[in-house]
Amino acid sequence: MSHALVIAGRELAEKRFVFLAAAAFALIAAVMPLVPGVHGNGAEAIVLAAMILATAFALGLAAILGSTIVGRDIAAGRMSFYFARPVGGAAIWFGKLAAAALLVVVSFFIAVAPALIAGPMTVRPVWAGNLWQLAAAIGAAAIVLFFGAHALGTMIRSRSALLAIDFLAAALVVMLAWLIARPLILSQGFRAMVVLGGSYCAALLIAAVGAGAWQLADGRSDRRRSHRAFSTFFWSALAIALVVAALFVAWILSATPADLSGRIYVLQPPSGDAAIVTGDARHRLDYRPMFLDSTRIHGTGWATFSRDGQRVLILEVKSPFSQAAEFVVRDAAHGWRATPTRLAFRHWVGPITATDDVARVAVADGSIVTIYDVASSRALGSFNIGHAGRVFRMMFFVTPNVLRLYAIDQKLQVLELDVAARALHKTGEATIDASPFQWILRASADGTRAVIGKRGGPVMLCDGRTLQPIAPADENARFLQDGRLVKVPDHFVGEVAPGKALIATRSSTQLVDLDTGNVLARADGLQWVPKFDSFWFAGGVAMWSPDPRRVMLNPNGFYTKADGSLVRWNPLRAR
Amino acid sequence: MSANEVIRIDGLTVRYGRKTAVDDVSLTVPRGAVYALLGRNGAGKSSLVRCLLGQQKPAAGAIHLFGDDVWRRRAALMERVGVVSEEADAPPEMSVAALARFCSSLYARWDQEVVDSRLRRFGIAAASRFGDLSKGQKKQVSLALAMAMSPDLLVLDDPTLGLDVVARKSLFEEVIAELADRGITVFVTTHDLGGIEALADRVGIIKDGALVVDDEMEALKSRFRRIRYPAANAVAFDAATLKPASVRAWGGGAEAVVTNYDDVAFERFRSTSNLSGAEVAPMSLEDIFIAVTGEGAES
Repeated sequence: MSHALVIAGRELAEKRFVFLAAAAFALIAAVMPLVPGVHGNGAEAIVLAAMILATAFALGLAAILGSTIVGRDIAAGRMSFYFARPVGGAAIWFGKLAAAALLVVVSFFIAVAPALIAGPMTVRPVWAGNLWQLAAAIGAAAIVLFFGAHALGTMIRSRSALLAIDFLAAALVVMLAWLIARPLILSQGFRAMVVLGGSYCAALLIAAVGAGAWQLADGRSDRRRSHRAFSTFFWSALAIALVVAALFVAWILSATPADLSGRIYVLQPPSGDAAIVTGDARHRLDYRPMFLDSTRIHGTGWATFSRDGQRVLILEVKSPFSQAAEFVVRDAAHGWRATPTRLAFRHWVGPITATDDVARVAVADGSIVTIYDVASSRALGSFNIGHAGRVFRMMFFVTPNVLRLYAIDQKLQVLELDVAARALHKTGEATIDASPFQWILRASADGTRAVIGKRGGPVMLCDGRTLQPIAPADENARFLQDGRLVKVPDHFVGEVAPGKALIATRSSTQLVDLDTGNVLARADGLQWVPKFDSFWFAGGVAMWSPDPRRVMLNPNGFYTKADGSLVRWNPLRAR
Repeated sequence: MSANEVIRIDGLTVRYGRKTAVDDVSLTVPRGAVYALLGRNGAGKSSLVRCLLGQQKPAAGAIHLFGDDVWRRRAALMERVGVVSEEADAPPEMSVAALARFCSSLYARWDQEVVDSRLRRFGIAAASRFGDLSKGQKKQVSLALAMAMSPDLLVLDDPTLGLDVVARKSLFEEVIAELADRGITVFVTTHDLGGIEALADRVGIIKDGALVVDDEMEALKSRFRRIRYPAANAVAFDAATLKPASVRAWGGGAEAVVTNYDDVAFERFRSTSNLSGAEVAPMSLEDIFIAVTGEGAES
């Protein structure tokens, strides 16, 4: 330790002129208001100039020190001076490192001193609160520059063929780091990604610091051996870090549906046992795995099941860093293996809706709505709906050939896209005296009728196609599968069998006969898991569009117990 | 390793890629001895010295100083080893005084008076930048720093390089002689054979990486002899058991350098070869060095 301090002291004494140079930069910033052509607030000019000059000075100094503080002495054959003394290689390295750190930090604060002095005088708070953030950012950049320059300097000065291996190793490390991180990135585990990213940065720093020490401890005064020692330690340390990172990611990804414990959402078809489930995984930071039954799936931007639950159409996001997405089909008969459709998009699209058998899908892209045949990837028809495309309220297939849209262009409009006739018809419109966010719009399962109105205001039963009023309706009225419009009780979730509805509170779930009001089944301590007909899980790629035809819930639903564990319960089979 | 051995080198091999710079060298230097390692430029001396100081890891073999492996225990061993390197390696920006201060804080034993007196003697200002000094002055500063830490072993890598006659004389006659008198072990590589001849107890000659001579100075000088004889024809060295290192024409006859001279063998040589006019002459260290390392010479 004392030897490291002696080395640091010697380095500082040798390079003390750096402080004078920093002071000269500070002086330049201080006289900035006197420079012809600089107008306005003088204090602000000083602050900005000092910040810019101090940043440039600190970063430049870090890069220069990194490339010279050890590499130059080794290349010039002067490192033997240190090695002829009773000083360990680590003491030499850490002494020089400490001196470099002190030089950069002190120089930065000397150069930025005018900003600290003039800052409180500025009209705009160009410095307040930002200075420490700026210092931290510059510190991080300086560390990268210092160690980057040191590594490159060591490698290039050795003029050894090992340089080629270094570049290969660098490429390999970057590729492996990305491959290890990718599943976390795709699954949007933000905190897990932060931990992994932080670990990568820490590993890089430790590898760079350790490699510098090992370079002098084992490579000593010979530039090629020094390079070899540096590279051996650096890449070995990173290899170990990658193995640890891979184990960390593997542990995160090892979550099973049984590990889901919070913020759980489920996508279920009206019938069958298949389901897509997502939620927070226990003890795995904020990782939210998604499972199609027990198969883990990633990058789901939008999904919907076929009515029979044997097939699911998923808009799969290719990368979290782009908006590119492609429809894939997963089939129960093929073990839910993904089959690409070649229906791909380079940017966000939506809303999206599909036919009952998911053989056709309609995709809105701005004012253009296109209907595709999924099996052949062919566009069956493409329609420009003009300004109505700005705000969708609802979109669904009335028949496989007819897509109905409820959209807003000043008024609520109903548009029908006929694929067979390749025709676009406006079939009805209505005016609702409220902001669209307050609107109520519900359609019956067959699409023949609709309820429109505003929250807390008049609500009307209308013709689903023309929006011609039929009769006043209650705000809490819902269409049942058989077409009836009934006022549902509070905490109504949905119909699971004709006339039988789930009523769910935080503490219990009940099956209620809507005609008699009788409780047919009750499960205390089970909390209903939110369910959507179609929704986005990750990436926010596609807007959600309710599908009124999916009025019936799958009776074998998902619930969480008090301990957070996920269970299935079928109230129709409950005694 | 015996307690009396300060340096022990076993099977030292240094390679740079496919080139072997030092080839299986073994030697020992006892406490208090002055060991002179000689060799032509590129013979492998500097590589050997770097290994000796723990600055370079050999491809094979080991070096022990004071019984400790120098590669593993370099930092601790350097507390006892003074070094004057071939090239002035001190930071050129530092003043001589700053260098002395820096070094004094690294050694437990430090005698500043040694530095001051040597600087005074050679007229070197303590405030001078090391980089501004002449080659000879740099050597003197390096020597002063190496002496000031009261070494048990002094390693001098071509210490007379760049020194003027006075400084060279001072180095050999005062410094090394004094150190030898004080029982301090000296390991020196030099091209100044005349200077070291009177001081070295033991001599090693390295040629193409191999240690071809490793002997006591007196023994070396007694077994190397120049024999001149009036015959140009081949003569019976084998029968006389004399081993010639080189044979060349000289005047009307020939001159041979033998590496294993003794009086009995020489008499046998004279009688078996009918060369009663053959004369034998002693050789200086320089002559021996040339005979061993010269073109076509064999040890």
